[in-house]
Amino acid sequence: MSIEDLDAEELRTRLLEAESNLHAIYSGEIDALLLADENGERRVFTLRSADAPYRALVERMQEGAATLSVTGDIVYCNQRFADLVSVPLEQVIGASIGRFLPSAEGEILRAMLEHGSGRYQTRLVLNGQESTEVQVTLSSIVLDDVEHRTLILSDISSLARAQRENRSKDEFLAMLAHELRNPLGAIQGAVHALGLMNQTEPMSLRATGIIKRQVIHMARLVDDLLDVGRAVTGKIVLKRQPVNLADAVKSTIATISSGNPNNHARVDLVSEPVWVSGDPVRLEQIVGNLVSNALKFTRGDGVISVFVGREGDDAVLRIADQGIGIPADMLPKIFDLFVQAHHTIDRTRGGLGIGLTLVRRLAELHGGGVHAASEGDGRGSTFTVRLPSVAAPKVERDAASKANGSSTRPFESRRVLLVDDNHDSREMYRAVLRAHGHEVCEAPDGERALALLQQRAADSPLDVAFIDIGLPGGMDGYELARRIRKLPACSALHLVALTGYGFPEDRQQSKLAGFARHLVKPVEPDALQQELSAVSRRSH
Amino acid sequence: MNETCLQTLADLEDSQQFVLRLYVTGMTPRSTRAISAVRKLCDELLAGRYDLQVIDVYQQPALIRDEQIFATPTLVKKGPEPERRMIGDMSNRERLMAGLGLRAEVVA
Repeated sequence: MSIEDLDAEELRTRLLEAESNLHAIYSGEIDALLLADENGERRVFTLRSADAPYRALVERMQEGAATLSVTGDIVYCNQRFADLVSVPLEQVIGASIGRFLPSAEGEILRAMLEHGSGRYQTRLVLNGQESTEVQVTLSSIVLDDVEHRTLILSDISSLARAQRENRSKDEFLAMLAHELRNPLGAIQGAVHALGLMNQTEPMSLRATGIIKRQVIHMARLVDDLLDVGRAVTGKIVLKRQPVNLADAVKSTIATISSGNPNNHARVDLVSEPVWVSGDPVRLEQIVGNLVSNALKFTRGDGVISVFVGREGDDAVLRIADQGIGIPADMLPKIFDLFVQAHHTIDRTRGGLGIGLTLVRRLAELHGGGVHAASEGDGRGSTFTVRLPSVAAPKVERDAASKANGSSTRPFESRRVLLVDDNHDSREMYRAVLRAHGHEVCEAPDGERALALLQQRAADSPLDVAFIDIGLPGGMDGYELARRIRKLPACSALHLVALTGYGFPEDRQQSKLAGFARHLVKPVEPDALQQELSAVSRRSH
Repeated sequence: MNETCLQTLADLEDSQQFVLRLYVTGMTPRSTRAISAVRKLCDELLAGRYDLQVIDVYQQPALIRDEQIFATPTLVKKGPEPERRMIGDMSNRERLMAGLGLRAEVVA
């Protein structure tokens, strides 16, 4: 519509509008003018009112800011910059940036100015003394068609202090763990020695059992404490070898279950052999922490489902409990150090909040990871560990094919006799051996062991006997071995001595008595299993 | 005669969409006042049938290339026809209504 076509009323309105707008401009009601330059491009010319907020922001921000020429001359800086370098503002502008930063890093600064970007950390030097730790960040900017540099000085002294304090905390934890280990080792040795003595008082037997269990528990806590520091700072080195994850899980569960006589939660294990390249000790730590957690948070009648097997190229361990679960907001944090999902006032469940951090770091060191899932409070939790799987070692494949079909039980079943007066010890060994599919019978002393052997000789002869040296009732382990060797029906029985002492003369004595092997307590479940796989099964 | 040109709120059909562009320069007190005044008026009188965009001429210079914007803040009513523009302080409600082509008496 051209101006001629407008009626008088519209013309009047437009005139009023123009008049009103001009009046607003005259009255200074505006922040900026937009004017065309020689190329017809409109440029923004701000008035003081528009600049003031930016200026206030820049002058008052916590970072020192400066605009530099490409050669490093300061053309502008904010008040904070002058404060940080402790030079009056009027002496900063026009000076070279090199004057305010340590000359030691002059080369870095020059390279950054030339390159147009970069970042480094340094300490400002004030009155000849090093003071504030700062981060220097440089970037490029074009002002009125001329290339400039912007430099930001960030005070990082508080951050650096926090990092230092965090490091000292880690060091303190590591030292504490070391210091705790020594007395624990002594207690462990002493309690073993107690176990070897002829204790008949039920009270002292029970007390010994309690000390033994609690010391093992404490030793594990201390190990975790020590390891979590090392794991977080990257100091753990894996001693890798091919490990059947299913076997590692089975033996760890057996050990834990026997160490928790008060917890009757059932552990349902579904497993298939799957091999990983891993450190057996560390894998046991992963499994141990997850299973202990599941037990800790499950009521006595609950069920813990454990699955080990292959999913794609991964070896997968999945542990699901029916416990108190994890609230959704805790799930992302649950693997952080010292974080616990449930801080109960009575702290009935205890723990330091380091186990899961350790699990995650160890899984990552193995090239895998761990994932937590939960439907929420009271609905249980599921932890899934994924590790890269490797091919089964050749020997193992042969053994597995020979066992034709019994793939979940890579070793042949043996008939085992356990002779030990310590109920807890027997229970532990029994759990481990049964978990590996062996048949176990037990005797608390020499007399009953001999009776059992003769009774079984006719129809189902035993393959191996593990005999504790310190037996009660006048017949110690050596004597028992000598008598067994005289029984014609037991000539092929493989005898293994279990003792707290590993001195050469002890080994010599057990050899003379007729033992084929001499193991020093505490015997690792793996060692027990190796011992059995070395023994051929007798014809039944 | 004046009445015929200004639209009364009663005349507005539901389908009539107010398309508004507010051009500002950064976070000045004037910008802040303009934005809140325009939004308040629109929410009171044009609820559900206005489209207001706030454009910072510094951050989005491409959006003023084809617009006759000489100063900020400027409010442009692009629709319904006829187009109206208003420069300056927007905290005066009467002036703002006139700038949008809305008749004050009807609301009062």
